[in-house]
Amino acid sequence: MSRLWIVLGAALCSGCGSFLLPFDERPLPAPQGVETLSGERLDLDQEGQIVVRPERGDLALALGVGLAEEQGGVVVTHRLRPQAGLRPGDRILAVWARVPPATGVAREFMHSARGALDTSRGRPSTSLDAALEESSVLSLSGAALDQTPRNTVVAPSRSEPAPVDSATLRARGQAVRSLEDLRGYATAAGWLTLDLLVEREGQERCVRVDLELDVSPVLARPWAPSRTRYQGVEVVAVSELEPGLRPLHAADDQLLVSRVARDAPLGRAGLRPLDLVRVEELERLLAGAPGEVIKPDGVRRELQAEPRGVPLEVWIPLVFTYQDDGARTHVGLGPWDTTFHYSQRTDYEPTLDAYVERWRWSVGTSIQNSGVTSATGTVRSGGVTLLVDRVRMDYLLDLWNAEREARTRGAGVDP
Amino acid sequence: MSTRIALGAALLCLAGCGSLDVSSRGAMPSDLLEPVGSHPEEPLLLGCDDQGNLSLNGQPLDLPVAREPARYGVGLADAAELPPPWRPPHALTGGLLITWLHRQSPLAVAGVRPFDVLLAIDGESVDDPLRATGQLRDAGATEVEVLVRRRGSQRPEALHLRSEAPLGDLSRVSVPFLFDRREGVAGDALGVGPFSAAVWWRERRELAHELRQRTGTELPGFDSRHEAHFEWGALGNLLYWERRRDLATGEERSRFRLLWFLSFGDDL
Repeated sequence: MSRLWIVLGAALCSGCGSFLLPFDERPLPAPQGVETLSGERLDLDQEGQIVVRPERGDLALALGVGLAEEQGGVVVTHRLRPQAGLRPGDRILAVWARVPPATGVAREFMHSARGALDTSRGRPSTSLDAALEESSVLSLSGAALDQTPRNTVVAPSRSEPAPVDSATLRARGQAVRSLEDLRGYATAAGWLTLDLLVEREGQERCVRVDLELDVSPVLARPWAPSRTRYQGVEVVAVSELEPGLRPLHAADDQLLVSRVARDAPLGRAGLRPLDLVRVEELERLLAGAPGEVIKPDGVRRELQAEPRGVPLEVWIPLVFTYQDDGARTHVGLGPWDTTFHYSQRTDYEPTLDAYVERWRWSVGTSIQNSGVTSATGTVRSGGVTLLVDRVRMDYLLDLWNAEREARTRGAGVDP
Repeated sequence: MSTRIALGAALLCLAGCGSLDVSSRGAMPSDLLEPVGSHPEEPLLLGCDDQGNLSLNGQPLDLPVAREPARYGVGLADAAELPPPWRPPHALTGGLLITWLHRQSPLAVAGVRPFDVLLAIDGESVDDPLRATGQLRDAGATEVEVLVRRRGSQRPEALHLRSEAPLGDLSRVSVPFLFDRREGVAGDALGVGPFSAAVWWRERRELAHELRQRTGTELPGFDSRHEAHFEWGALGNLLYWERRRDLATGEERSRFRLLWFLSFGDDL
């Protein structure tokens, strides 16, 4: 009888542990920006705040001026930033992009390749240089090559490019006859310097300008937060945005999704920030009915998700465990779930920008199966095990990691 | 007697078999490319990272990359969004640059490499990365014909492709001391007996690389090719046979090994 009490006491002391985690409030990224009526782009910054930035490829905004085509050339019409290097009336004649040299490129690549070569041949490190001089072909082991940095350029120079005169700029630069000749430089906004040959007051001058990326937050009052926040979603009414910042093709009675939490059921169903949705459609979605959203590229998509409910935990010591919060489910039978257990969880995987479903079950501690399902396919592993029960080990690791994971999600940390 | 049996079993276990691993993940490695505006005094080098994002001399370019990671394992960026001096010589007027390729992608196996240009899918020319990846996604397991322009070439090349299975699929079933079966898009394997020491075989598609000096540039580059590698072993690899076949050229090499060190056949 005393043994029974000891076992029961141990079970109650150890508890069944919980696989449930705090709701993950971290925001999902926006898959693509959306163009506004003023020609800028709404986007999300790293903290999930809606920002407005120049449209991709808009060099004029990156230069801080207005540009127009005039008489077979490009002329500055006005300044958008007081500190812009160009002045109204300047005619741009030529452009030379001063890309910082990558001084570390060859050295890093040679170092990596030489390392790989040494692995396969066991020769001194000078062999690659000699081989390259002889134009001979050498084999590399795939594994060794895979260890080399994928992007072999690692050390972009921070040095200021040397000043240029008009003649050099005309010779090395690209003639500018239309806005099309300036296309694409804005893809390097934030780090690129342009040397421009301009005609100002009848004289040719060299003007050096840095392309800057102006990003400013968009402030708008959330629409009915008491109804949407519990579901991990925030929206703003399009009519609440400044007229120039409203998405192109958006109607005033539509809502712009400004935030979707990682654990939001609608996020798992496919809702993303910067999607547009009508009020009645959002209400249907929040109620668990199918509803239609408009993606930034204009595609309409029907979504449906079970609304977020209250986490449920049922525990009968040594007999039965059930836990469910919509994102994670766990069922266990027997003492410490040793007779049978099934666990499933769906998590957002930032590196894939997709949701990944992990599941596992085991009968006893020997027959088991586990798997991970993502957009690229399913990895599953199963069978019988005698010595090391991997599924059971994962099960324990999940319990062990629960507190750390909860902290990552911001729970249990004092502000 | 029991000591001998134990020693024999230990030897078999130590000898074991080759790896039964058939997994294959990650992107095709890509080397650097000099765009048309590169100058000996100020060289420009276009690169792409393992997510397919383009960079110039190590600095990131804000160019959207559309990816289809499930079936055809390809990432595309529009070269027309680059300024003309930063475009590759084979994409001067723009085109969809392949900036990311899964190493087991049907395109990669057919010989397509990062920085090649995708021109058309099923006879329909493509100029929008999102639409092109959408077309490949919709194609699923059906056969598609793609038109590509290789790096260093101006001539389009037609390729017939078929996606056999999702690229991330991998399964394993095992019963200790009896068998271990693994199956994935890169190959499959079976082992029988304790630690697969009785008999095992594996067929896998592997990626091999060759370092080359590219013409017209001082930068070293490399070429990658897929090889079909088939091997089997028995009795703790007392008997072992392997064959490698280059999928591009069809060249085959094979060898047989006896008693772990007596090797007959080609040098592998």
